[in-house]
Amino acid sequence: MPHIPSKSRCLSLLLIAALTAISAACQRHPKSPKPGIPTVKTSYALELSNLNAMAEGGQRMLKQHPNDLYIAQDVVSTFLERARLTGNYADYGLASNALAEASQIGGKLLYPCLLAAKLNYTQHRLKQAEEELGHCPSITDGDAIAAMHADIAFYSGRYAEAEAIYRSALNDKPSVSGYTRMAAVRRYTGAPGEAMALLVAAEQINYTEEPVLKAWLKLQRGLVAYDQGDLSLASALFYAANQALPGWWLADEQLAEIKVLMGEPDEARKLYEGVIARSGLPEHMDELARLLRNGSDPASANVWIQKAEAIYRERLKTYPEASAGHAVDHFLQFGTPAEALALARRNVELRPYGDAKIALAEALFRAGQAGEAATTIAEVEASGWNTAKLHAIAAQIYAGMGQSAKADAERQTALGLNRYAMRLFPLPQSVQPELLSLLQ
Amino acid sequence: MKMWRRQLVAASVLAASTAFAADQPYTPKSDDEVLERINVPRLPGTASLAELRSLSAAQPQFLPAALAYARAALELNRREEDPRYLGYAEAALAPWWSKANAPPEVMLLRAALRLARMEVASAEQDLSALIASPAPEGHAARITRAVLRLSQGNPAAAAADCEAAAAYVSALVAQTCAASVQGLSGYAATALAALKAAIASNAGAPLATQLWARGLYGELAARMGLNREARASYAEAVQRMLAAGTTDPGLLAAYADLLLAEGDARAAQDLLSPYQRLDSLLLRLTIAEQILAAAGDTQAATDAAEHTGRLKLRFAEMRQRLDVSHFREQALFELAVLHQPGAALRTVQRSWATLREPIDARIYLQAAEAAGQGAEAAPVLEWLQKTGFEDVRLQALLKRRAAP
Repeated sequence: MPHIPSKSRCLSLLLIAALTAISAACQRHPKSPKPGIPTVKTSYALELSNLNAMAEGGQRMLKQHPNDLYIAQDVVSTFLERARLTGNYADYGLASNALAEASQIGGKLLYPCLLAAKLNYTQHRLKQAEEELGHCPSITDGDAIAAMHADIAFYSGRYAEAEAIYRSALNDKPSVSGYTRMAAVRRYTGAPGEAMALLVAAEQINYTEEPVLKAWLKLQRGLVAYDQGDLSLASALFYAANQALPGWWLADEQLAEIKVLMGEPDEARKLYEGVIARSGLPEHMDELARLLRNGSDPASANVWIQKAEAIYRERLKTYPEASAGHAVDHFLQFGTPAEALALARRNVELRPYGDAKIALAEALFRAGQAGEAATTIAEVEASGWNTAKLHAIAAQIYAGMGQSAKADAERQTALGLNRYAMRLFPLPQSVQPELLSLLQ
Repeated sequence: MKMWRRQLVAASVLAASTAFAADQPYTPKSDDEVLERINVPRLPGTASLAELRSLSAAQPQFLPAALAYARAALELNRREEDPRYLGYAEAALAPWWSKANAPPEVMLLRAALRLARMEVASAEQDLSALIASPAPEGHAARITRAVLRLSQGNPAAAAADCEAAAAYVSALVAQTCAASVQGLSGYAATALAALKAAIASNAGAPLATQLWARGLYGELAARMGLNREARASYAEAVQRMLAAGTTDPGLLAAYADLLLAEGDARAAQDLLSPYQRLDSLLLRLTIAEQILAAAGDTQAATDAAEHTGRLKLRFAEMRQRLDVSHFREQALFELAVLHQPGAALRTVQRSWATLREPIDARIYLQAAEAAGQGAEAAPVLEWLQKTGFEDVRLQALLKRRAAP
């Protein structure tokens, strides 16, 4: 008999992409540890090893119990969790196959709509995620459905709608996920101080010893501190995240960014090299390439740029929706303006939220469409999105259009939010002749 | 040196009662005397130059800070034609300046600085190295080299670079580049029509690109004798430039040249009066004032005399410090202000080695004709034949040459 997902509470926490790690707390460290899985001192490598073992074990068990919905769902969740931990897109494919099996087992009555929605949501297919929620059987956890609706609303640019649902859930029952979700909204809508307080509250009520969650919460606080230009606090929190989950590439990557900003390229390089060895992600290859381009052997960057591009192109073929947004940055700097713009437009179609639209504005500007870039930025500002990045990019777009007063005002706002904003967020310039005016 | 001289010049403006002697150093009466009021240079949406300099100085090996400072200084040089800023930029890039294998962004800026100083060979080395590399700066290098080739009167070479860069530049930049090539290759009418459409369909392009495109449109129209269209395009561009609070010396000079050619010296004077700090514009202002003076404007006569003195001094200073830029302006000065066509011819011949734009051809032909040395204009005639270049203003000169 198919097992009703008793872990639906846990799964309900899996809504915002950044929150996915929370599911690990629910799944990888159940009250009774699964036999054969070590529970000793942890590290990123060990967590990954545990997930690998769980994935293999789950698949094996599913073969033995082909009608067990619980196991089938667990397998899907494990793949999604591993994708989250490693950034490896191949797990989306595995999760998708496993979900097909789970759906067959559940039938209409027990259709695992939340998992299906989550899989689509994680791959930036918001419309499909929303549709999946429409197929939820009546037995499905209503709070989880509402939370997923809110997450979708957030990435659709409907921040007020998302916030209202998060607030209602939080007031109903404070939870780690409730605080962190609300923190995400506040972080991006001009209230980083409130976001920080909410994350502290989340840490205070996190009674699990789950290392990924502990590390993730530290990392989130570090990111908010980074947003505020408090690099000392951000560094401390990224180190703390690293202590909670030694070897986690995500924490090291953030530390590397700070090293770059502080003018410590050798330290940053070591960190990026280590991160790439663990993650193999093209985003980090790009970062290393940017660093190498500014060093004593700029040509050494080329191999990383080429490797990154090959991975992006493969990803764009296999997981087009999930990878469009991630690829924009690469093609903005290393590709043609037309390709970067096409990706940025696709990304906004998929997830029309603030950062996606800011990336679109950057791509428009790079392609020489400054007017449309300014219109896009104005839309983001009107939507309630309010970050240092938004204002820094706006300042540079307005400057490029010769709108000096607006440019200066935006710059002041950006610096008010983060004193490093103008260094952190340079606008990719439209290619034009150097010395235009001198040679005319 | 130049700064000191500029202060001197400013002092003469501030203290109108002080007689200005172009060939004598000015000594301030006291330390309290204000010689020049300089605004804190700052580009919209960026930190002030002083802030950028502090950041760069605090971490001289930190490339992003050095690049930010150098870029701002270079841009201010473009707006102010003040070589001090080139020095600032070079100083910021000092740790990388002499490296053959410098970071790509440094190489691009280094090429730009070298071009500003007319160190064309070394600039071309940097540009070619970037173009040969897979660095994305190679695209900016290519479009820059295209413009350089245009300024050297080599539209065929420019065409190759324009075409190769097309996928990496905006539509308006690509079309402006192509129109520049066509305009020098005997297809001015085609270029003008294409550019008109491009400007209309790229209304949201960045300001710098728009000014370039509209300036070129004005130039092409003027070459075809469509002065009304040319004037409208320049006027629109200048209006946009003023609204943005920026300065595009090339645009202003080209517009002023058209106004002067049309005999509207008063409009040229009005246009250029605020830009006396810029050598190329002070020159055109002086020409306008001479024309007005000849028509009986006594104030213009006084101003022209004073400005002539200033310009003499400025060109002398440039040559003293072995500055090889502004030979075109010097030739025009010698021809149109000093009425020394022989000197102008020698100067423009020197300039012609590196700059072969339509204006250079006009100055060259006019100087040769006025100096009574028509045979000396052979290189220009050869160039005109080779390129198929069209310009009604040149045609008039050529007709006069051909007349018995």
